[in-house]
Amino acid sequence: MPSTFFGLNIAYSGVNHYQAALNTTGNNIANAATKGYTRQQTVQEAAMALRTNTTYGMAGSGVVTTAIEQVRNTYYDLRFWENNANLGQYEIKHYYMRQIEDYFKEIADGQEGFNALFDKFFNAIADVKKYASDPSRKENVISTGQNLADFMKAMAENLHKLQLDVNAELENKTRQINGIAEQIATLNKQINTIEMNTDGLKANELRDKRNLLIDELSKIVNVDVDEVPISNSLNPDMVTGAHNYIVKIAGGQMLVDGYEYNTIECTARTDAQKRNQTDADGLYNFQWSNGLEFNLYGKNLGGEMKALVELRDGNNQENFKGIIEGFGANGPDQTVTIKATASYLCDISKSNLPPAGIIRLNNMEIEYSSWEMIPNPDGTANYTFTLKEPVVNTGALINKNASIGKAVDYQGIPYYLSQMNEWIRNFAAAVNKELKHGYTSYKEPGDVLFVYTDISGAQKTFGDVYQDPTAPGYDPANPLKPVTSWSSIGDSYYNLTAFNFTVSDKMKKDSEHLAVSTSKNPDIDVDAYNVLDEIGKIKTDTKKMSFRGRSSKEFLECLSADMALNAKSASIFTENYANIGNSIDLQRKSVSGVDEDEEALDLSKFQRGLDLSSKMIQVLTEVYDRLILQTGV
Amino acid sequence: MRVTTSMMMESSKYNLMANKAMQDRLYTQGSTHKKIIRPSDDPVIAIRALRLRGTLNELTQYLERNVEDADAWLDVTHDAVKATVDVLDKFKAACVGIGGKGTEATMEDRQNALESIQALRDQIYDNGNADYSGRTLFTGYRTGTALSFKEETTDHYKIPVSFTAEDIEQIDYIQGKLDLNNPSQDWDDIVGIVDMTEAYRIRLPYGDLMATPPTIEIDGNPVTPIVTSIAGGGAAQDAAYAPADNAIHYIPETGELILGKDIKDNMEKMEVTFEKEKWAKGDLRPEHYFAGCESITRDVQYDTAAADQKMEYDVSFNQRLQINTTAEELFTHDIGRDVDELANAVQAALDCEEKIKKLEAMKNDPNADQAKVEKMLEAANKEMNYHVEKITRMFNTEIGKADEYYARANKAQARVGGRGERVDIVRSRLTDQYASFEDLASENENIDIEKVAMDLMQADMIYNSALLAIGKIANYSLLDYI
Repeated sequence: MPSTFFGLNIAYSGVNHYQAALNTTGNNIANAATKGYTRQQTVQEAAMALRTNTTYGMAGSGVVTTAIEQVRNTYYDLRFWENNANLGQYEIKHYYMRQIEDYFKEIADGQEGFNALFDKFFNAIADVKKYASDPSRKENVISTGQNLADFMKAMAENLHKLQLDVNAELENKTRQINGIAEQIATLNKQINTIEMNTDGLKANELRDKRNLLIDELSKIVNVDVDEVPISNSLNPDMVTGAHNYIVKIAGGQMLVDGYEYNTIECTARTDAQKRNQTDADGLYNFQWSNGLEFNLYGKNLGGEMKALVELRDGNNQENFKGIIEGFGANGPDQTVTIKATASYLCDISKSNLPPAGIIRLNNMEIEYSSWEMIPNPDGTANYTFTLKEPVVNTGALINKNASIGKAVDYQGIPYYLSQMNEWIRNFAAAVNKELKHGYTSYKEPGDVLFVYTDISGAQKTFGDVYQDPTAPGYDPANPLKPVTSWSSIGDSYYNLTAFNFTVSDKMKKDSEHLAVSTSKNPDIDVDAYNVLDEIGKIKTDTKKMSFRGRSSKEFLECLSADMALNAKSASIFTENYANIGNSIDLQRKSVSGVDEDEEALDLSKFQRGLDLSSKMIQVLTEVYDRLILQTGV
Repeated sequence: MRVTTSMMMESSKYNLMANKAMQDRLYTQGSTHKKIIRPSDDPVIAIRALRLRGTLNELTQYLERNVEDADAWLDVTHDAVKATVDVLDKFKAACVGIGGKGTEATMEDRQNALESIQALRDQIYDNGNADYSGRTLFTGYRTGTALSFKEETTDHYKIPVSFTAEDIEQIDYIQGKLDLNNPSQDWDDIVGIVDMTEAYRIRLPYGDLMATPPTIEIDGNPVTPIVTSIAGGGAAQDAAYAPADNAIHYIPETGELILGKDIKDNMEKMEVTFEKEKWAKGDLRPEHYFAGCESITRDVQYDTAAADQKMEYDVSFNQRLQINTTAEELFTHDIGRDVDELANAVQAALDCEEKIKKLEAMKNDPNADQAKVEKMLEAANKEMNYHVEKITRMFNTEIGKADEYYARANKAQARVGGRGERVDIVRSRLTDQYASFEDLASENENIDIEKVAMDLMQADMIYNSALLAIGKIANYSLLDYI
């Protein structure tokens, strides 16, 4: 038979439980607006019944509050994190693509963008055609040419600044990742300390905090979370209560493993390590603090970092790749010859190779100090790189792949810079070629208009491409040198980029050096203009100059189309993923969010329960009172 | 599905944001009047806008600059050409006037006619130097050089010219002219030797050439001409005009090549390169007419003549218009040479008249040998008749030639007029095109203000109702009722 005070225990358990429940409800209400808060519920079960050895068998012994649990569906969490990575990626892409677009914008009236300046240059040429002996018109050609060069330079500088901004943001993100990793590791320890060995105890608030951190992390990179219960190897069936929480990012790279975490470090690339010819200085490479390489270019990087990396290093997969054909003599300055077949590698005007950098031979990375390109008649090209260190075991490397940089499948900043370079090189070459055929009014053979400045600031005039006009036997009808190879350290159109594009000082000082006709007596045939005629054709004739199969004036349209489409697609995806993210979040809230009305109902329910349990105690007190003090006395 | 209040708040917040975004877009459209702010708003509109603007800019360049400039040049050219045509008309009238009188005209009449023709020739040549703000109109690219020499110049030129069999002219030559000063004449036959013969010649574009024989190639074979100067007059002159059958005589003073009978019969083409050093004021500069001439004094090669130097303006898309008229379209050397030869012939006739006067005077001189004087007078009169016959014939031929010159200049005028008309047509077409492209560009980029206003009103309404609804959600909860 159960004890007399059995009932009191039962009532007492009820009071306890309802108090706990009320507290939980109060907690929910107080935290209704807390970010990341999951509503908590008390979980109770009927206490173990006692055998009473009476006619009625087992008697229930009240309620046991077994746990205060979170109501959370991890399925939605996983979906949310997946989606968040995509959202982060496209948000960043949208933001930066918009900036790039704004640089090249030419929608509003009165904006002196590329098209306006380009048209002005050709209008100036057309005006000279009508009155070739007027010196002020030639001046106009030179000044509009300089304006065009200045504009290109300004655009390129802007893109560089943007590249550096993206670079800085990348570093910021890795710092954020490091911070989150540290916090998660700490939380892991705290959670395990609380949950270990006590069955049913859940560190709800800490878990919420940890989930919030993962929310934040998932926007930055792709996240894979795994929580595995720690089992006792001697007694595998034992429930220890502890869990090992593993966080992997960017496609399986370990960030947090239980209480340990890794951090990401960055080192700036030196000039000799640039991936693209016109990259900004000091872009970062990333590696783990334990020495492993941090794979920035994997397909599963995801999140904002993927967007930033693609913007910073995106070259539309046009990096250098080829097959190793042979090696030069062993020793210092050993050379390696590589055959390239891709069309963008066989045209020097499209070249984006850094003059010195790192080349990967099969799987070995070696620095090179210069290179030479020899176009083959069948449309392929042979590149010969001068390496800084000699290679051993050259035999095994023959016919293996070689590459420089990575093929990033996005039209990022390096892509736009190399498009600008390509256009500028082809344009300058087309204009200069026509000018070289002519004679100036000083009866000298025509000279180039567009030149570039080298690192020391001196102006270079493509000595590798054109024969020396002061040499005897120079014939303007054939100004080109027969070129068999291009070198990174020479004086060719490869060295001309958007950053050093300018107009020759000689022309600026005296516009009469501009050759306007091929007449050998320019002082008599003063209004002859056939050279300008040919230059005028460059604007629309694809045989004179073609850029991506279109004429030179369609440069801005090609580039704008690229940018506009990338920006638009980023914006569409952002909206889509935002919508999806929103609806997943709503689902999460549907499961885990606090509803005031629900809590209000619970409040009255538990209050009623507490009242009744208290009443029960009151009643039992009176019963005991009668029993003890007034029965049988 | 369990729906919490916070979910509803979240949803409405999200929708409100979307609403505001649309309002923002509509407000911006309303204030800028453009459909897009940046290309990514609508790439198709953006690229189309770029292309249309490019076209508009080209149209502006054509319409406002090239067409106007072409028009100005053509106007000035037309005025100059018309002036030349008018002068040539007068030239023709003068020739007709004197030719109509025939043999009844007096020497005085002929002298007067000659003077007016000479004056007209000078005016024509002067017109050739017309310029448009310092750039001569008829000299192709060499707008800094006049058409003719402005003053007497010494400049050694080598000039190549081509002739065909049609350029061979038949001229009258009066042989055996009486020379009063020559004591060793054959007195028996001074009448008999006066005769009008024919000679076949090719006239080079200039007279007063250098004594160096020119290089001649007939049908590909080089032929050496015999230099026969007529400075001495008399028998030397007669011999010059009577070459052997297979010889060519080169007369530097008159710039003529007299052909022997065989050569004249068999020749098809002749290339001559002659040299001239002394240039008088008003002589046409050879570099504008003859491609390939060179100035040895200044060491300049003129590879092309004005005829090869077309100045073309781009007046529209893929349309080029030649705006200059070149010198040989207007007139050639023939006018000047004709007039000079007429002057020489008249002068020779006047000389003959002088001789007759002297002989008449000698008739009254008792010391003279009257028989000889009679004979000389007879010879002189015979010569005079020949002169009159020659001059009359020359003036008559000149009428036909003047017609040709007039026709040539007239054709040039018609051509210039035609070009002017083309410019007008192009201009009107460009203006139309400009208007329609402006329309297209505006349609493409600019908003339809009514549509935007309506959309804006609608967006405002939606916004208001969204705010109302949110207000209602936030107000009540269960606790108000417990």
